Order: sequence, then structure tokens, then C-alpha cells
Amino acid sequence: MSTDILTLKGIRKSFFGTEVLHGIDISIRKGSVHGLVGENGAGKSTLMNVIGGVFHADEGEMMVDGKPYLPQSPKDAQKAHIAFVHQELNLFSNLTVAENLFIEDLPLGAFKQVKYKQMEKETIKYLKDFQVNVNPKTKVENLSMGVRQSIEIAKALIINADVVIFDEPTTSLTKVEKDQLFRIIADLKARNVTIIYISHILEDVFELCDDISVLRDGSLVATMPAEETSRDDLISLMVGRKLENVYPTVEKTIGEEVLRCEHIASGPLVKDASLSLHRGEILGVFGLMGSGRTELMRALFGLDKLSGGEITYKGKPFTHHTPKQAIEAGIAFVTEDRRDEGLLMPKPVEENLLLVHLPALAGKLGVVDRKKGEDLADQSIEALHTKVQNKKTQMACNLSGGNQQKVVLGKWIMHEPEVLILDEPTRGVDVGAKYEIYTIIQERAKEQSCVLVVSSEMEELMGICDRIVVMSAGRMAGEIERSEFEQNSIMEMALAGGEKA
Amino acid sequence: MNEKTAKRFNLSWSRLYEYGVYVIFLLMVIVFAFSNPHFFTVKNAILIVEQSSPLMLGVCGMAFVLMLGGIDISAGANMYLSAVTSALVMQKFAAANGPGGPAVYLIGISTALLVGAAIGLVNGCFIVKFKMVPFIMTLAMTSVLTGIGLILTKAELLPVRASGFQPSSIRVGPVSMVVVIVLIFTVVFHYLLKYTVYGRQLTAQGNNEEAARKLGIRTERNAIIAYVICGAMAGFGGVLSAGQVGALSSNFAKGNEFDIIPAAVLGGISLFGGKGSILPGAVIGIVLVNTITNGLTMMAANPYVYTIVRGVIIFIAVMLDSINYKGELR
Ligand SMILES: Nc1ncnc2c1ncn2[C@@H]1O[C@H](COP(=O)(O)OP(=O)(O)OP(=O)(O)O)[C@@H](O)[C@H]1O
Ligand SMILES: [Mg+2]
Repeated sequence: MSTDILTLKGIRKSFFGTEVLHGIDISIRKGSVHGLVGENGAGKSTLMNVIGGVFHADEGEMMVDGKPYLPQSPKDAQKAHIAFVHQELNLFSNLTVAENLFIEDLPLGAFKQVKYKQMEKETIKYLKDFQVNVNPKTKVENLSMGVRQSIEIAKALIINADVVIFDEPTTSLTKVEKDQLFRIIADLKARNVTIIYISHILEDVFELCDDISVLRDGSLVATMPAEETSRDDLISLMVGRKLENVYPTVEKTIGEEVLRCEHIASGPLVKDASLSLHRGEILGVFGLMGSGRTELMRALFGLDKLSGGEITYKGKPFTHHTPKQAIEAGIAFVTEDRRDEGLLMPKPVEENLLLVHLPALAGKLGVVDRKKGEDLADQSIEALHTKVQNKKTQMACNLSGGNQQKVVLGKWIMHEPEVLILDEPTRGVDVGAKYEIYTIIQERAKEQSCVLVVSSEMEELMGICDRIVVMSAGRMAGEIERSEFEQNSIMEMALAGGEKA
Repeated sequence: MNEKTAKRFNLSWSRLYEYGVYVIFLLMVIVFAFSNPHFFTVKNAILIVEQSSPLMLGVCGMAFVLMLGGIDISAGANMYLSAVTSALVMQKFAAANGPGGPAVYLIGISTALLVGAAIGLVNGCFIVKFKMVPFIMTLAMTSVLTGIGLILTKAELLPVRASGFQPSSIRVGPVSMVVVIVLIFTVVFHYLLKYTVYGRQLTAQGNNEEAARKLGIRTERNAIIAYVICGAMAGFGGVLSAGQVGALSSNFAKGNEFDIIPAAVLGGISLFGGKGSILPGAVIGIVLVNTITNGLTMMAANPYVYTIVRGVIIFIAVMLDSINYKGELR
């Protein structure tokens, strides 16, 4: 029998009087990959933060390798050889790659000066193992999200860890980067390093993990070997009920053309993109990372300037608009980068939810109808099953990662837009919530709005869209109707232009 | 979204004002030069450098606080109170041991450093431990410090030179010892910010405090130290400036924070934290601000015009910072 490297007993944790972990007992086998799954707000990140020394448990004890372990700070966790890749990026965008890697333990010379040369050399050598190819002097603010996440992972592994915690590490990785991460995990496992892996992508969990634990509402409901369970079992354990369908369906009709763009060029990534969108239609945009799909959406919404091409909206030219004009015209854009662009972190949930719709709530004198606002906020929280303790006092930054996303989505949908642009709407969201989001998308379409969905998960697009257009290297590589959806042909189109990252 | 749109805006306009600050600066120099023949001379240039020096210390300290995303409005009042206490101590000492000699310098400067650091410590502790807004905390501090200074001096003119404290009379080549000391400190602080663990972690924390905490960086301690450095340097600058002026009026150093902060910001240190450096930006910034003051004085402009100009400088500095200016100066 193998020994346990990490044992938790009766861990409890409250935030502002609300208990979010109700006495967790869990043991992690040495050298295993242990999956941790659960709905948004189940307490996964909180539990990991307790192990990582970021939060103190209110009650309970922990053992590492049979010895009592009482971390007072993240430093103590490092000393116990526990590395932690957080759910959100913890890099300093104003510093260089090298500085970020070494910031906790900068190499010093005789005069206590930072040895930049040595640090940069080590960075290159070190990152080579991760196949990350960046200049160590580059400031992090100039790097793509995927590269940043790779650096964050590399950084966590710089200490010779015995236990590595990955909290949703793949949310902004490209396919290639993700494969790379999985190779790293396999490598670590081969060196008998223990891994805790949190993800909402159950396929990945099954692919990687030996054991799987399920958290629901702050309690551990099950721990079992991966081969003894199935995807469906996991889901019902997570949500406490059975999910019948993955994708909802509604009856709807597709009407006249609403939005049309022709030969759009914008920035370095969008070269020649055309599409047309009809009333009641759900149009998917598929493309690999760097194909220009996100940039095309930004241009449509008016966030980026067009350098060529035309947009027609409801039959009228709509080309040099600002985001404000787009919103007024009934277009909504849920961005991919929700943390930076989508939320007012230090503001309460309700304020965040009402942000977009606020002007419409104002009466004649510009006074906001608070009651109505409250009702709308409640409806949104209910519809998306957002886990919020108190919508008036809880700040957006105190929500779990997935619930922050639901708030961003909720605030746009409340405005009942005619054109809803969604960039990766279900990233980091649990299976149950995915279903809710798909339902909302379908309902918007049924009410004769048009929906544009950008996603890197092809299955998701095939499940909800009426039509998919494929982008590759800034151009349209093809278009497929629902009846002809087929994974391979879509992938081929996407690859046609080559993945130029 | 805001930051990104700002960047984009910046890209398209950057050409236009990349050298904008220099152009304005140059124009002003030309106007000054034509209106007074004594302006564009070596002697006057040295004078400007001498006048900038004590404030430069303030800028060095302020750089640390700004790096954090904080601000210290009490820098001017700190200069005043530190100079007053130091002058009083030197007066006592000179009365007992006779004026002059290295001991007076030692005692004067250490008193100012200590008082300044203590003020910074109070600022830092309240801001960090009680999460007070830096602007309001240091604004309140300004009022308290000025009041104490006025009580100590009974609002009368306090002589400094009589104790034998005349740092500007010790010459090193064409400049005074003050300039040399300040240059050394500037280099040291630049080094501290760019090449030490403390400086780098402070820069990191100014960018993403949450992340810094999660990495186990001692954010609270670092922040308090930054305010202490800022306070100590203001105190040091205060006593050197007092030595230059020779006597302390109740208006001494009043509003100096509004030269120090814009100079740092014009020099590329962002009010939003995490950006910029002392060399060369902040040095150029303070010289620039002082050149304008000097020029206006020489033009014998209406003294109230200076207030307006100061306002305009603050406005330009903050505006450039807000739209993420990356022009030549930075
Ligand atoms: N700093 C905080 N202050 C107050 N409440 C918090 C804080 N952090 C988390 N919570 C609450 O604790 C609960 C558990 O959050 P946690 O982040 O652990 O969820 P999670 O399982 O990681 O979810 P996700 O899959 O969305 O990341 C949530 O209800 C959240 O609102
Ligand atoms: Mg989480």
C-alpha cells in the first residue's frame, strides 16, 4: 500500500461569518495525480489556498509526509515543497519574465545587487525545459495570455516541489501549450511528484488523474479511483442531481439578416473576414489561437479600429462606431478576458450586474429605479445559479472564479441585446452552469436576437450553433451548416492556414 | 478595457506629442532667454541645479511611495517641520558649544532625518494598518505638521546660518556640497529601487499587491518602509534647503509637494504604481520644474502667475500619466 503524502482532517473555513468549507477530510496518495472537481463556488480554490498557506483554516489539521503541517504563509508551503499554480495569474506585468520567475528569491551579488545577467541566463535555461521561447528581458505585459500562463506554471515549479497544485491551469492555454503541460505533468509523475489537479474539463481529469475527489457546497462527497467512475457519475455527484442533456434545444425560426461584415481587416491579426448574422441565429466562430477570432469580435464591437472592409447593421452602414454606440445599437460583447475587462473587482455584485443596464433603469429625472434593479439582479443570479452570499455587500473579487464569469455574462444578458457576442462563454464554468449558459443562449435566439459565439471547444459549438464559420490566419477558411457538422472537416479548415502563434 | 483603449489612443497620437514636453520646455527657455540676458548663462544654470537639489531628495523618496501606488502630500510640511526641529536643535547646540564645526552638521542632518523618518513611519503605519487612503492621511498630516512647526517657531523667523550650518558655502568645484550629496543619494536610491530585492519587490507589489501577498512577499512591511524613506528624504531635503535659505519663515517649503510629485510624474513615475525610475526621468523632471520657476522669477512676472504655472505643470504631468504617455522623457 502506498503512503499518503498529504492528509487533511476536519478543515473548516469561513469568510465573513459564512462557512464555505465544512470539515474536509482528504488524503492524497504519494506520487498520484489527484483530480478535484466540483461546481463553481464549491470551495476547491479555497481548500487549495488553505493547503498553500494563503488562507488559514479556522479548524482542522494537516499532515505532510506524516508530520504536522501548519503553514502561516505561502513561504511555509514552499518550505514544505508544495508548489501552487493559482487559478488566476499572479504575474507582475510591469516586470520582466526573468524578474517574475525569481522575484521571491532574486540572485544577489556581493553588494546585495540583483544579478540580472545570471538571472536572465538561468531563465533561458529553465524555460527551455518548458519549451517556452521568450526573451527573459521582455516585460510580461507584452506577452499573450497563453505564454503568461506557461510562465506562471514554470514559476511554481522552480522550487523542487513534492506536491504541485494546479488550479484550473488550462483556461487560457492553446492546444499546443496544453499538450506541453500534460507532458510536464507526466514527467513530474514519473519523478514521483504528487499532483492535485482542479479542472472543469472532465475529459482532462479522466485523462490525467489516478484518483478523483468531488466537492459539493464545501463538503467532500466522494473520493474514488478514476477507473471506478464515469463522467455521468461525476456530474451527478457534483451537482447532486442527474443532468439529462448536455445541450438544450429549443424551437426557433431564423429570420432576416441583421449584421453583415465584408472583407474586414483590423490590426495585425484580422486580414479579410466576412460573415453575416441573421435574426434568431446562433453562429459559431471557430479558429485556433492566433487565428484572429477574438480580434474580429473586438473590431465588430468597435473596440479596435477597422483598417478595411465594411459592416452593415440592420441594413445601414455601421463602420466607425465606438463601443458605446454599439451598446446603444443593441450589441453586447462578453470578452474573453473577464478579470481585466469585465468586472469592477472592488464593487459589490449587484453594482456589477446592473452596470450595463443602468441607463435603462433611470426614470425621467435620471433617478435609478432601485427596486427594479434589485429584482433584475436577483433574476440574473437565479437564472445563472450564481453563488453569491449577499449581492449588496459581497465584492466581485470575493466570488469564486467561475461565479465572476457568471456575473459578467449576467450583466450583458440583462440588457437583452439584439446581437450578443460571446467570447469563450463557458471557460472556467462548471458543467451545470454550462447548461444554464447554453439555455440562455438558446432563449436569446428564440426571442429573435442573434448570437455570435467564439469558442475553442469545437464540441460546444457543434452542440449549440446553427452554423459555424471557421477562421484561419485572419481569413475565413470555411462555413458549415448544422446538418453537415463534422469534427474533422472543421479542424482541417482551421488548420488550412497553419497555426501561426 | 480602459487601460487598453488608452494605449490604443496613445499609439495613434504618440508621434504628435512624443517630444511634446521637450518642445514646450524649449519654447519656455527661449522666451526666458530673450526676456532676461542673465537667464541663459552658466551661472544661472548652476543656480537652478543648486535650487533643484534639496527637492531632488524629496523626489527620490516620493519615487518609492509612488511605486507602491501611494502618495505623500505631507512632503512639503515634513520639510518644514524637520527643518524647524533641526534648526532649533542646532541653535541649542551652537549656544552650548559655539557655532560651526562638523558636529553641527552631523547633529542638524541626523535630527532632520530622524524627524522626517518618524513622520513617514506614522504615515505608513496608518495607511497600511488602518487601510487609510494615502491622500487623505497625508493631507491630514500636512495640517498637523504645519501647526506643530508654527507653535515651535511662534511663527517667527528662525535663523539657521547663525548656528554655523551653511552647507551651500562648502564648494566642490563649481557647485556646492549640497549638489554633490544629492547626486550621490540619487544614484544610491536609483540603485536601491532597480537592483535590490526590496526595490524589485516594491515594484512588483505596486503592480499587483494581491499576487505579491500570495507569493509571501512582505507587502505591509515594504509599504511602511517606503513611507519612512519618503519621510526621511523630505526631512533631509528640508534641512539642506534651510541651509541654502539661511532662515526659516512660516512659508518655508510650503507646497513643495506640488513640485516634487509632478516632477516625479513628469519623469515617468506613474501615479498608478509600479512604473518608472529615478534616473534619468525624475532628475530631468525636477530640473524642468525649477527652470520654469527660475525663469518666471527672472522675468519678474507677477508672483501669482507662478501659482497658475504650477497648476498647469501638475495638470500636464497627471494628464500624460493618465493617457499612459511613453514619450522621450520616460
Ligand atoms: N476572499 C473571499 N471572501 C469571501 N468569500 C469568498 C472569498 N473567496 C471565496 N469566497 C467564497 O467561497 C466560496 C468558495 O469559493 P472557491 O473560490 O473556493 O470556489 P471554487 O470551487 O474554486 O469555484 P470555481 O470553480 O468557480 O473556481 C464561494 O462561495 C465564494 O463566494
Ligand atoms: Mg476556483
